[in-house]
Amino acid sequence: MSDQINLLKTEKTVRQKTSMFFNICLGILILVIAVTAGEIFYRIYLNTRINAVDLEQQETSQQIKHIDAKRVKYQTLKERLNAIQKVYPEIKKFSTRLSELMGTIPAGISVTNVITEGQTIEFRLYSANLASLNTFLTSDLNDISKSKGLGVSKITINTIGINLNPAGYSTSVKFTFNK
Amino acid sequence: MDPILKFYKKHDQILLPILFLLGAILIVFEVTMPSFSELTTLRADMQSREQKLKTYKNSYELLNSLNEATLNEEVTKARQALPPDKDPGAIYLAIVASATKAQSQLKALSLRLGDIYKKGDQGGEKLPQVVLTGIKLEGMNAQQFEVFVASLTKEFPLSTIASANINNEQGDIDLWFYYLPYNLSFINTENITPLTAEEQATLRSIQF
Repeated sequence: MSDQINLLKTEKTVRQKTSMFFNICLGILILVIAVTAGEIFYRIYLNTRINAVDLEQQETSQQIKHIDAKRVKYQTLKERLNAIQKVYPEIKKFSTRLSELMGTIPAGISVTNVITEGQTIEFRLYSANLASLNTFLTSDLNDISKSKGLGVSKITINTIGINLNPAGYSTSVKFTFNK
Repeated sequence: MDPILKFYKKHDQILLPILFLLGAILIVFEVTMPSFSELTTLRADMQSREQKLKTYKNSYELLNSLNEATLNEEVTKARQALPPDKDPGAIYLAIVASATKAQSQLKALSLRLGDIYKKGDQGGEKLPQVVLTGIKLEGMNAQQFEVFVASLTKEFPLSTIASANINNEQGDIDLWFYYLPYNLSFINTENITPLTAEEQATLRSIQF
């Protein structure tokens, strides 16, 4: 009698386990089908959106074509400015430097020669008055070298001499600029 | 009864779940996983197209907002400052006008065409090229040279003094006049962006 009871219990357990296994496997299959179906619908949705974006892009491209002349002008402007800003700052510097240096030459001293090359400007100066020339060489050049706006990196006094005709004194000063 | 059917009926509680599992595995490997990698590519494709559309729309809005008259003026100014080709006529006129303002006389003029940048492209961008010009001026001193330089910068903004020797009322000057052929690949690009602060500053700084 006790054996029959034991057998019944075992059979019930086996049926329960089998049923659970069946449900789990069925659940897995349903889940996989659901995920796959979801992917397929999402792919359809993405394709639809891509088509809509392509259409909108074509329409916008057509709109831009109607103002193509304006586009070309604007891009030409940008293209020129891009190139100009590579060289123009350097070009402007020379004109400014020359003007500012000429502005530092005091009355009583004249610039008889100008030699420029690359980053250098050389002045040959003449004065009938040695004191004026001396003040320029000892004081004014010092101020010029300290002036950050001018950007002078080196000042070289090449020669100092006496002129006979016209009588006076001359010197040659070379200014080298930071690049 | 068919032996297979008999076998199935006997073990259907085990066989059916196994079939479900096999079916699920088959679907995962044959459908779900390939579909997933296609989805990733499709999403990336859609994002790039949306980005391109945004670029097109921004370009259109920018172009639409530009005042035609102002744009014409600015383009003319930029073209005048940096011509697209060598123009000996414009160079000659600029030199003569500047010499006249400096009250000196042009005695000789020679033009040489050359690139100052041997490697014409840097990172795909073209750099301006130069017309090398040598001039002799008579009746020129230091003050007149200053006037000549200031005037030339206004007549032909992208010109520069490469070297000069002003001596005994004579001036021997080497000049560079910049020019740059149009970069059609830049002009035809689809992505239109606003002028940067630097570009606007450059435009403002060009003075004739």
